[in-house]
Amino acid sequence: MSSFGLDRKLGPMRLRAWFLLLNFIFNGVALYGLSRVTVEGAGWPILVVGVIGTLACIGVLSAPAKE
Amino acid sequence: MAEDTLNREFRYPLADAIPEAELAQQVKDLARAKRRGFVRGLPTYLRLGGPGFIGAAATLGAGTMTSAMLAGAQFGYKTLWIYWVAVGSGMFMMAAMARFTCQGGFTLIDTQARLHGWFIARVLTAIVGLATVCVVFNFGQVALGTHLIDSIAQIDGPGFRQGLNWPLYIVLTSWIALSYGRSRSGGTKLLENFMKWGIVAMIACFAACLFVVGIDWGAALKGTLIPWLPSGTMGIDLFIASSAAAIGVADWALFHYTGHAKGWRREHEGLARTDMVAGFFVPFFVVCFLVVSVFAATLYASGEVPTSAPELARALVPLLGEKGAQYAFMIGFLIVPVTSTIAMCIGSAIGIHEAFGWKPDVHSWRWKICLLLPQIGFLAAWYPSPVTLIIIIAAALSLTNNIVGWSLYMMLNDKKLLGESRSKSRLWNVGVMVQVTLLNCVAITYVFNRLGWWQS
Repeated sequence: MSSFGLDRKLGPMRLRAWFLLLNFIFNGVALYGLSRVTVEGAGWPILVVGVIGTLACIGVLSAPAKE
Repeated sequence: MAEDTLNREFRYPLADAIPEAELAQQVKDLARAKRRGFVRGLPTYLRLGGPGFIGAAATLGAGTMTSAMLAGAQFGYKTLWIYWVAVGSGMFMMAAMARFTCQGGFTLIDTQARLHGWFIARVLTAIVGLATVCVVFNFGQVALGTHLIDSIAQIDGPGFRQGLNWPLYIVLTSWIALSYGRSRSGGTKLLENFMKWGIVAMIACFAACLFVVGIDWGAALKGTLIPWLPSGTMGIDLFIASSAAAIGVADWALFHYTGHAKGWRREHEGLARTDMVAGFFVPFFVVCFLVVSVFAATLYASGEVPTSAPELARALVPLLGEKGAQYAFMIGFLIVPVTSTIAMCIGSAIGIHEAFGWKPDVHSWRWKICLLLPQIGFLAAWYPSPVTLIIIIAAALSLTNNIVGWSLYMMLNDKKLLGESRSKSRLWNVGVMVQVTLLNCVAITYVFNRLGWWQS
């Protein structure tokens, strides 16, 4: 992950900050899917996309800044 | 090697009064404790610690106690696991605070303002996350504390009405809070020792009650180790709300600044980490475990469950039977708001000073006024708590705590800011991100609720 360049700037923010935002969006998708699943019994694909996206973002953001 | 901008000579104004020789002696004591090993060195860590206990006292307030009592009365032992998971996930962010305090050589909010702007630092962290929480949520502490004084007086006497006993509550808590940072290190030690012994007394009182009512160890162990939630969105709400309520911005900031106020430096980081576990994690979990268990053993499945702390306490007391147990519960319960109020006074003073960039000076009138501001909660002795204000603050917290979390995660991974002291651990970053994600979920479910997409 260190070759990813998570700390280089992309536009106004570091890539790490963009991933924080992306994580937030995936959290929203997961919770929306979850609310659909618990209320209507439908919405599993949305929930799965949200959870996988969240886990991927946390995986990326777990990388420490490189030397 | 990355360059850093750390100021190794940094000293927070509240630590100015601490003699250098005392700090040097602490460093020697800590080195000796480290050589002796964790168990034999623990008494030294407990003696020198303190900010963790202040944090636990702040968090273990009327709100946490009410939710613990309700959880025990409604779900028995089944939700005990939430408490250690919630406070445990918060430890990673607390470790980040320990790093900023001991190795950063900066104050959190000033640095946040420089890196991420004044709005996130001064408004979201200092005002919304710390100062306002301390001022507004103290209404609940005073209401509960004065109610309990009256209830204790009623056990064997005519009572002591809230409208009359509030000066006792306000004077005691104000006197201890005002001692913070004074008399070289004596005032801070007085306050920290009050918190430490308060928490010990709280645990002893609740443990005595549990001894009287008995505990189903099998169910308690199962509830502690095996996750269970009520079905539907109610379960998700319960988990997210409990997790977010255990540790938030106020706890992070308070731990950082109260560590600075003790003059902690690089050599104190081990102490800071031990303090956050022994002073915060353990007391928080033990107190919640005891309270949930007492209510699980008595009110659970008894039918109608009251919803407020005073009503829950009133319903429990006859079930305790022995008068000694009734006193023990009431006194243990009274320590909860007393220690919380003291911690909230400190948080209010630090938060307001940081919001406006003022230098804290415990001898100044400005410090004293900021510190005593939460005591406006004395009005709760006569009037109901300001529900609208509490709802507004709770909403602001729900919507913004996560943004502060993002900012702190970025700081922990900032090579320019922390240099070699930045996080180099994937596990640490994952732990911080788990808490940030939980706080994101709080903000999102709040919005979904308003949009009608989330039906509890």
